[in-house]
Formats: sequence, C-alpha cells, structure tokens
Amino acid sequence: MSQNQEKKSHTICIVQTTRIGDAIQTLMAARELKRQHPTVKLIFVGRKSFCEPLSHNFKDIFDKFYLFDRREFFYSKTVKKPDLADVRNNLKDFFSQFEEDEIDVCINLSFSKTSGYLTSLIPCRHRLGLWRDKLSNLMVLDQWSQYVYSNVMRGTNCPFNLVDIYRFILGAKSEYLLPHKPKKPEKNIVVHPFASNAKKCWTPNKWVELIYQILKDNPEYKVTIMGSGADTENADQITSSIVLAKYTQRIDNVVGTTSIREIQDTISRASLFLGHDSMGGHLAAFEGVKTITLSLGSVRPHETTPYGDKNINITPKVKCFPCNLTDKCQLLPCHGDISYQLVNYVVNASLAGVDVNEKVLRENVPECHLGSANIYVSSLCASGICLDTVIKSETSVEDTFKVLYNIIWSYIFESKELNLPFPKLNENTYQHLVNYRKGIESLFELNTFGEKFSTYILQDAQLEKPPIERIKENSDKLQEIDTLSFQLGGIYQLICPIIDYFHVKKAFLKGHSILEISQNAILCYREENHISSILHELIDSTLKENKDVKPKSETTEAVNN
Amino acid sequence: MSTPINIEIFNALEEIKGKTTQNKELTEQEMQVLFLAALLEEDA
Repeated sequence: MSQNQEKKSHTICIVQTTRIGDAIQTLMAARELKRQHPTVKLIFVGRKSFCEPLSHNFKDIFDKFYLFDRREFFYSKTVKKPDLADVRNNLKDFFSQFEEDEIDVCINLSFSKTSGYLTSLIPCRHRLGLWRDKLSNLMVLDQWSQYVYSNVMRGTNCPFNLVDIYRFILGAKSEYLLPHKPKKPEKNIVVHPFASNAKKCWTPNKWVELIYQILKDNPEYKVTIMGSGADTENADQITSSIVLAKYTQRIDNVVGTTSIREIQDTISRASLFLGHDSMGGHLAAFEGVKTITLSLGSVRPHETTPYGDKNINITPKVKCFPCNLTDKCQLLPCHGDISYQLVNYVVNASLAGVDVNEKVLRENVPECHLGSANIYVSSLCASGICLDTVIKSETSVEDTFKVLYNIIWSYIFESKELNLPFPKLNENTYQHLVNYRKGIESLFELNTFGEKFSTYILQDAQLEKPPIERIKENSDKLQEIDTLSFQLGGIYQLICPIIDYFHVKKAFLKGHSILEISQNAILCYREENHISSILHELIDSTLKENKDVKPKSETTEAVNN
Repeated sequence: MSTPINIEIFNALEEIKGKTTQNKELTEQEMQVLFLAALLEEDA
C-alpha cells in the first residue's frame, strides 16, 4: 500500500453468515457493486460450511474472503479440552487477518445475534447493518437496515427481493445488469424437488407425477435431479417409481454425487430450472437461467424469487401462507393448492417461449387448477426486480399493498419514482382499501399527537429550569401513543410496515440530550405522517382507477385480517 | 452436558452482565465472549 497522499480505493467488508441461498444472493448484489465500482476492494466473511462450496464464484467478485467454522474456534491442536484462553487464541488468529485490510465499512447482511457481534469485532471505520456497540447495545442505524429489521424480520409485507435490499444497503445504483442467458441451452431441465424442511417441499410422489408429465410432453428434453446427500432417499423414491420406468434414460439423478461447482455448471447450460425455494434457484439466477419456483410453507416469494427477468413463482392461495418457520403444521394445506397440472403447463409454456399471461392461462388451464394458486412473474423495473401477479383480477389485498409500498419505500429511501400501473382490484380488495383509509387516518391522528407532545418536551427542555415532572408526563403520553399505534396495527395489519419501521427508527434516534432527541422525534413523527399521507393518496388514486368494481354498498367496518 | 469451556464462558458472561448494567464499556475480550456465547447458543 502506498504511503504517500495518492487517493486509494475504498475497502468494504461484507458479513453474510446465514445459509447458502443468502450467500448466493449476497454474491449477486456484490457482483453488481463491483461492476459499478470496479476499484472498490471487497472482502467477504462467511461460514465455511455454506460458502466454501461457492468459493469458485468469489474470485471474480471479492479481493479476499475469510470463512470460519465455529467448531474450529472451540478446537485446540495441543489439548483435548481447550479452555477460554485457547479459544481466545483461535479468535485472535482469525481476527488478526483483518489487520492489514484497513476496512472502511463493514456491512452485516445477516441480521443475527452472532453476526452482530462478529461485525463489531472486525476492525473498521464504519459499520452498517446490525452490530453491537461497546455497551453491547444492538445498533441498526442506516435506513435500509432499519427497514430489514422492522419489515423483513417480522411481517410478510416486504415487496423487495433480498438481492435488491442487499444492493441498496451496499450502495449499488438502482440499475442492474442481469447476467447473459446461455445462447444455446441444452435441452435439459434441472429439477430440485427438495428444500431445507418438509413444509417447503412437495412429497416425492407429487414430483413423480409432474416429472412424468413434463417428460411425456417434451420428448426432446431430459431432466436432471439435483440435491444434497441428505436428499438421496427421496430422490431414489422418485427415480425408482414405476410411473417413470419408461423415462429412466432421460432422467439423470445426480443427488448427493456432484459438487456445487459441478451442479452450477450443469445449471448454467440448462434450459430451465424448476424447484422449490432453494440454493439451486439462486444458482440458476446467478447464471442467468430461467427459473420456475414452487413456494410453499414459510417461503416469501417477493423476497426470495430467483433474481432475474420473467422468472415464475407459483404460490398457494391458502390464507395461512406464508407461515412462520416455527409454526407446526401437520396437514400442510398449502401443498394441495398447487397442482402438478398447472406447473406442467407453465413449464411447457416456458420451454416453448410462450409468454405466461392471464389470457394464455385462462385459455389453457382449467379453473380448478388455476383458482387455487397465485402465479407471479418477475420483471426488471426501476427499483430492481418486481414480482407481478399474472391473474390481475385476483390480486390479493396483500399484493395490492405490496405494489403501493414498493412505490413508497423506493421514493423515500432511493428517491426513485416508480412508474408502476395501478393494481387491478376486485370488489373484495376494493372494500378492503376503503376500510384501510380509516386505519391510516387514525395513524395520522396518533402521530400528530406524537409530534405535539414531542414539541412540548422540546419547549420545556429549553427552559432555564425544565419542569421534570411535566416532561415525564409528556414522555408517558408518547409511550401511550406507541402502544395505541401497535394496537391499531393489530386491527389494520397492512399498515404495520409503517408502524414497525418508525418504531425501530425512534428506538435509534440520534441525540445526546433531551433537546436533540425531541427534535429528532418531531422529525420522525412528521416523516411517519408524510408516508401515511402518501399511502392514503395512493389508495385514493387506486380506488378511482378501479371505480368500475366499486361494491354497491361500501361499508366502513374495520378489517380483521 | 456442560463442558469446561461452556462454564468458563457462562461465568465470564455473568461478569459482563454486571458491567453493562452499570453502563461501562466492554473490552474487546469481553465482546469476544459475547460472540462465543452467541455461537454456542446456535448449537443449543
């Protein structure tokens, strides 16, 4: 490193300690940052178990990568049972690697307790994402990370793909260059019929039916079934099925026998990737290969659809989808909502280059298969990847709000004005939107009180002898307003994104005195009202655009979702 | 089943807890203990 006054490139360290799918999505965001800023030095920190198999992808993107295995920290070469001093030495060896890197910014994209402490231990000038200060207080200070902490980690109303969120936190510009698709792909469909837990994937029997139909309808194609060693039993169940007996020559079962590098190479030459939410789909997106994803269980399609143009995501319509990871479910009702017949049609259309739109689906897929599933197609828009419902007339109220929130947050965080079409409503969603106006108006009223009491505190704090009791009373009122906001969110759940975001923002208000904190609190309440007003206006405009579906009698009851 | 390292970390955590309640800044070694405790929590 030069010792003189030459301008040096900046060094960014990215911490990603979650699973392999998140690591691939991080790779895609980092690749784009590197493309836009080729002189920036990128360092990656992740777990060996998830990232070592991907290391062949790191070389073109990261200047250095440090992978750790938590068991190695607790291991000693010299003693059988290491003590804390031995473990500390292991940590010292690990963190000493960063000393010469002179990291400008360390960005934690993992949002977990472990990664928060890890980020705090890496020597750097600034930190983004989730980290801990010297009092071990949780710190989430930048606005996109506050959005992730409030909206992605709780709630299912996030309209953004995780790759886009990672890009925004990293500071990549909005435009994204998608990887080139293979010019002459092989007539091979890579199928990953497995997932990290049973809630997220079909049974082998259902996959047998689908694979049979695909091979029957597409005699030129073969199917490659991929998966890890843990999926071998299920894979054998599929390939040994008597239903698939006449197609064994066209089925290549590589489950548990190939490295990730080898399967990535296979995917890169394939025509299509078909599977559940898994690292296979993200690898396909990394290589620019089209994907069809069947999202079940706790999967959130808007966040996890493989990042690309015209990728398809099919989800169940059942009310409990998506569920929480920890929810126990014996019956798995979401699995029955997606029929293999529907998926087969979408696969055939994709292979034939047919645009999967509402007209084509209604003409070719019986209503009994179409009616129980949502079909989404990704498209590149000004904020990154947008996921659009194909059957516009059946857009749910949740998806309607996602479109509105995409517009709002893109404008507030990125100063981007998205030119998206108004969501198409039906009578049910029209009524919901009408009811939600009342919820937003109540939130506006609460925040107006919040601004008022914060102003009283500010005025009292500026007095020569601040009246402590009165300041305390007004602080208690602010707490009451927060409680009432949460209760309002319980009734109008689709305004929780705003309530939750500002709850987190207020928890991290800047200021070293009551004066400074009150000033920032006032700005916070004003900003919350500003966003509430935008949402109200967008709802009004959406209702005007859809006045043809206005119910005959509008009700003003509060909606219980 | 507790191992000696787990107990050492647990004991160190107790001391750190006392420090944070008094609003005292933690040393790098103490932050490392918190990191190790978080790693062990993942195992649990």
